[in-house]
Amino acid sequence: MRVFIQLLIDGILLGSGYALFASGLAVEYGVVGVLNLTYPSIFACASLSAIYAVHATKISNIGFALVVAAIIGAAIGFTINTCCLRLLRRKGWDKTDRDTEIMALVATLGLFFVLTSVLSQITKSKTYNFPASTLPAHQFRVAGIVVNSVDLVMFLAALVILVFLKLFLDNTHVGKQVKAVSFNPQMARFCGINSERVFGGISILLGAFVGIAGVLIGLLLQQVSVSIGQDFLLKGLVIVVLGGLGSIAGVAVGGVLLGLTEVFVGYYWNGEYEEIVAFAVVFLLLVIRPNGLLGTEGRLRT
Amino acid sequence: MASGSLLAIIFLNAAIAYSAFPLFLMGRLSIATVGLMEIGAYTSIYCTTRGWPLFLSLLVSAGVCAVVGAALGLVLLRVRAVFFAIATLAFSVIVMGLAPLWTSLTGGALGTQGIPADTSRTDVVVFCLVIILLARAVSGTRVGRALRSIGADERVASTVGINVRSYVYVSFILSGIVAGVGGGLFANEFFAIDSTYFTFAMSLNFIAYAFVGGIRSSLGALLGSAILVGIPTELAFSPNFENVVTGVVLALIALFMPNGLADGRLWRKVGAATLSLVRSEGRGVLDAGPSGSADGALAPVRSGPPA
Repeated sequence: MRVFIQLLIDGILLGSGYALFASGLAVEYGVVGVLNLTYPSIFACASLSAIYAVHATKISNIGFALVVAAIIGAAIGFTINTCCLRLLRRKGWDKTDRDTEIMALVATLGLFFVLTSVLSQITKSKTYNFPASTLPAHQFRVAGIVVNSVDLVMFLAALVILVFLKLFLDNTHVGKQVKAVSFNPQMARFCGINSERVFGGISILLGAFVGIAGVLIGLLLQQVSVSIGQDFLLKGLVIVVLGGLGSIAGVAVGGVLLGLTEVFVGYYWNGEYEEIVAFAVVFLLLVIRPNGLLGTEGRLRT
Repeated sequence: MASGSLLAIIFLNAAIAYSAFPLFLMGRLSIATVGLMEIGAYTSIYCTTRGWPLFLSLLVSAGVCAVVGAALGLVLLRVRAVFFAIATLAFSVIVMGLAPLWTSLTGGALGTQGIPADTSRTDVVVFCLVIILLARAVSGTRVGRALRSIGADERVASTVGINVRSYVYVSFILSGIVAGVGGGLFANEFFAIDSTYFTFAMSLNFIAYAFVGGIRSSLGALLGSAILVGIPTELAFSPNFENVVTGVVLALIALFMPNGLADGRLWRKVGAATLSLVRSEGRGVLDAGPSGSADGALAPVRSGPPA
């Protein structure tokens, strides 16, 4: 029984990290209407940059790493938004058009390829890790359940960030503008909202979140290489299907579900089956309920 | 794919990429190609390592993959755009994941050996030509137009009497057959393969070939394959170069030429723009002095004397 609860806790903690990573994918789809596949590569890039920064400056501080990753993530996200996505929008791309949805997906896929292979060239595909002193490793024991400091920090960060996002979108003026744009960018423009600025702002915010997720998951995995971009691309797709695109609660649910699936399959069965089981669930879910568990029809739902 | 002549490689890649052509016409981005290809490959190897002739083993591959394709079609009928792509990707990921684990069939990490490597270049080229001709033929007929109308608006197409279900179904079956045979040809080029020959990047590459050349064009996959396979192979800077090229070209095409390189309208526009640019430069010379432009007939009529 204790094993079960330990696994449960592990799954939830891991899942929170996944949810934070996938928040970029899910929220961007809700607001901008694009399943932006560049986020996994931004994730890898920010994580590797933070590792580099920590090693280069010898500032072995997690706060520093998080800030570096957040800035890098935000910068790349913003660049992609202004250089590429804005171009698509200028060409009359309509958020509700199914065709352009696929077009944008393929475009971001191409960008993912480019980013990943450039990263691969730079890092020569080696693996790196954060120095151990970045986050002192404690183990907390509560009623026989073991929790590592990394997991705890990751969970807290994800919780804070996702809750902040939800509160931001629901209660602030700017948040309501974002929601308006997610419903219909043109109409929002008629109401005096600068849709482009909203898109830009969202890309910065989500890029930062993904960067933060990159550092935390990098600390968790102990090893970071370019390939996590590809691994997490697949995980991200699983999460958005499980939880539904465009919904913050959905991304949390999806992330946790994936975390639980991985942990339980890994323990009771075999680590190699994790991916297969996850995707089998995705496939079945898409057949039964194409929009995911808490999915929305292409707009943001909090 | 590293064996054989460059031409054969381009052709084989193109042929496999063509498998999803009818699905693309219908607006469905199918990433199941690699999964079907891998199933076809292993089925074919299963036969040839037991002494069956290549042709027969390819037939078996076609059959098995047709069934798998039919199952996919049955199940993915109602799945929408982005999620359709994810579902087919899920299928491919599952196949790629199961392959190394099904050791009795695939030999796991060690791979399968003793494959009589008897795929010849001509086999591949003939296969591909047949597929391309079929694609071009179908594209222009009623069937092609029906597929495109489904892609344009499924509901309207069904009101005009187009049986969407059958088209999706058959397209999936065909997709299975082509990818399966292609996979069989691919696998039989080598003496031994293992499951690492089928990668995630490969699944995306097939999409890229079709996209770059033009998803809706019957020449699309061939063009795309020629560019995305040909260029990195010729200018082999580094193993990553292929991915960079694929990514850059893919992104550029998606942003600027959504209909791919085979977009006739776009080339005509480019041609017209270039022509007008040439003419207007000629005009600039005219303003300064005697006419410098060779074809006065095309120059605009001037009401006053040259300056």
